[in-house]
Amino acid sequence: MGYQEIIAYAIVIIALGYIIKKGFWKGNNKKKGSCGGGSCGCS
Amino acid sequence: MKKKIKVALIGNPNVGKTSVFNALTGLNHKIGNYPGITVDKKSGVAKLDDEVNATIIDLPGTYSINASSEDERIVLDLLFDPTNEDYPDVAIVVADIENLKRNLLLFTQVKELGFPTVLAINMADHMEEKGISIKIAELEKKLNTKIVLISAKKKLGIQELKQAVLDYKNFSIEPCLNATAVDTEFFSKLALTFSNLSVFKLWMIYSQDIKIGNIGKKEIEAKGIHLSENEIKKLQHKKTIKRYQFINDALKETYSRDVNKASDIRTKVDRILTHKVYGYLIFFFIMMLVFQAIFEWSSIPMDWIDEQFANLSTWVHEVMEPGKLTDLIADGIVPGIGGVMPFIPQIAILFMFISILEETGYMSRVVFLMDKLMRPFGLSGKSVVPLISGNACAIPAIMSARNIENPKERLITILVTPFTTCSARIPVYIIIIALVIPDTRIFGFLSIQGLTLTLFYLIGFLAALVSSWALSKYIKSERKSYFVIEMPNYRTPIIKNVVVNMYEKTKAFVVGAGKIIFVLSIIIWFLGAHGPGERFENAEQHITEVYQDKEVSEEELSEHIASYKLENSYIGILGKTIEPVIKPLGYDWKVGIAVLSSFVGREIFVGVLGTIYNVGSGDENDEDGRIKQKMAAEIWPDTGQPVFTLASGVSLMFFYAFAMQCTATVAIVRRETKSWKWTIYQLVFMTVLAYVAALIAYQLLK
Repeated sequence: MGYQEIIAYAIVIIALGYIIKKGFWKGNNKKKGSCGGGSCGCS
Repeated sequence: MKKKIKVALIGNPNVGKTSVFNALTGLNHKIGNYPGITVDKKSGVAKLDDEVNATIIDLPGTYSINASSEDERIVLDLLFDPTNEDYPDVAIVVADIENLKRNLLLFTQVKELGFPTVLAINMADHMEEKGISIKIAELEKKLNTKIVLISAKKKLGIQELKQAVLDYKNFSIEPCLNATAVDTEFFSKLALTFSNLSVFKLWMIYSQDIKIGNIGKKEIEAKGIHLSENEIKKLQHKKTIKRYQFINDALKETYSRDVNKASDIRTKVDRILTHKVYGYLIFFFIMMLVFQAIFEWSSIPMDWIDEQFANLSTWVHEVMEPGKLTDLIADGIVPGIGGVMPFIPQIAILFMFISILEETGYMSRVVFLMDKLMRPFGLSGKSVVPLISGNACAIPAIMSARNIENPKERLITILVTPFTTCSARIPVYIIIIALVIPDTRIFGFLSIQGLTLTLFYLIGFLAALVSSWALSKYIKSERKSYFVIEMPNYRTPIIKNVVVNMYEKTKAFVVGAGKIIFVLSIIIWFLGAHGPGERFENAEQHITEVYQDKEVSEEELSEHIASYKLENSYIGILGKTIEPVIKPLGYDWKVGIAVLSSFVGREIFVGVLGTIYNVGSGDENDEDGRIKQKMAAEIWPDTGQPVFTLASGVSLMFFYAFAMQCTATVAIVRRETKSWKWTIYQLVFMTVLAYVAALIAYQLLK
């Protein structure tokens, strides 16, 4: 496995982890702040 | 070390509280010229002098200190709880020079809580033109407080206000009136229950059913206080009348207004803008102009950004050595992000117009106008603000439904608000309209594309009205909530505010959409560039064998290989599995994957398509890698017909007009309704409606 593959797959794993954390691990991830400033999750 | 004090900024909605907050702290919070902008408290630091800093806490606008709505409860929680970390040392009550009588009701309540209080009368720069005069010294004596005339917009009187706050220890904390005189016997009895609390606080605990420390309604009742709900309400009314009598008397001698001088052009303009026929026509015309501008002004920057991302993809392939990482960047991340970023100009233009309309004061007239329109559909007058705000983003819009006291009206408003067209739908609408609606004009200036966009905004709004009518038949409400709206003066928009708002909203879009599309494009690239079994592994060999006897160029052959690989990749298999469900709507499996992914957020649709099409492209140096061209070139493999036609395009737009495709909105609905039942009901109802509408549209138009 070349360096490109190692880096690319590592990025994929991190991305997957991020999505899982975002989707199923919201309990301790409550954001504070008023909405509209990008802190509410809306875009 | 500097001394720090805490200052609460309190006032009715739309008195310019946020402007005062900004003037004091130097921060740039969004200011709206229509009520209900501040729905949560926020804080900033103001330097009062070299030795003292103040933490300014900007509270949601409220007409009184009662716990009848969520935002009023935020105010109440702070002012009644000395253990609260933001419990203020001093309160600034902001009032509007033109609506002093109504604004002072809240002032008398704050004063009764025993805070050193400064009354900041805002927009004082308009006194002369409105023919208003105030005898400040006399009014100060009557209200037992310090008064400062200010103009937050022009930053006049801000230094005096800071000086007044510094002097707070010298203020009287005695109430300005004795409201307990309406029933001396009852209030004397109440005062004896817990002598450590003022009678006003005890009354609030008892009448509003709140708690201060360990003392609640039950504890007071245990000490022999008993009133029925009806008696409590009667006493509340009597106290309010008593307060207004006091305010009337105080203002009679100190505040005067020469109506002749005040009969300005505003009244005449208001009459036209809120007219039952012209009002709606003008609003429709303005919105149509906005959407025309979105199309007209954004096409050049949009194409430019689009082209830059296409060039970037080619450049990455050129400068990096071939490999998985290069493919991930050039075929996954760059096209994914490049699918969303070209919509920055549209979002910026939309919010520029919304800001200007808010700043000028026109939005308040729209709110008033819409109130008349919405009532027959079972909506409360107060539903207007969430429904109008929903055109930007459903999340703050749903949060702003907190100021609807009636729980059933609030629930209906929350359930229908996501139908209004939020900014995340713009990328989908714009790209589909540009693909399937001809760029022709009526009367030489009205673009059909712009009109189509206006139409889909109207469809979203009508869906909200019709759904609320249907829901109001099912969820009956015993009483209608009242709706008070103040008509602010027309103002020239402050360019800085418009620019800041435009920047903030566009940044929220770029960061919000960019973050998720970045991550999703990585995963979609992986799923598109990898597949199970031999069919994927041996794609090249298989296609070469199939085409060995046919005359195909090398370029065509590599396109066929890429297409075959994509079909047999993980995402291809997933897409093919869902194709039977989405094919009746006119979508192929690639569109299906984009639709499915965009349940995270609608704006993701275009980015996901960008990644899929790039992974499926055999030419690494594709010169025209722009998303619109790629979408236009997509064909059904069996018929050779284009995927994006008028029928499938309109079907997609109907789907996006009705579908609840935003996980953040689902989360906020759950939080605000505290009910999974209603959240799931809304999600299922909107998705089914979207599917049926898209199906009908496609089957009729194909």
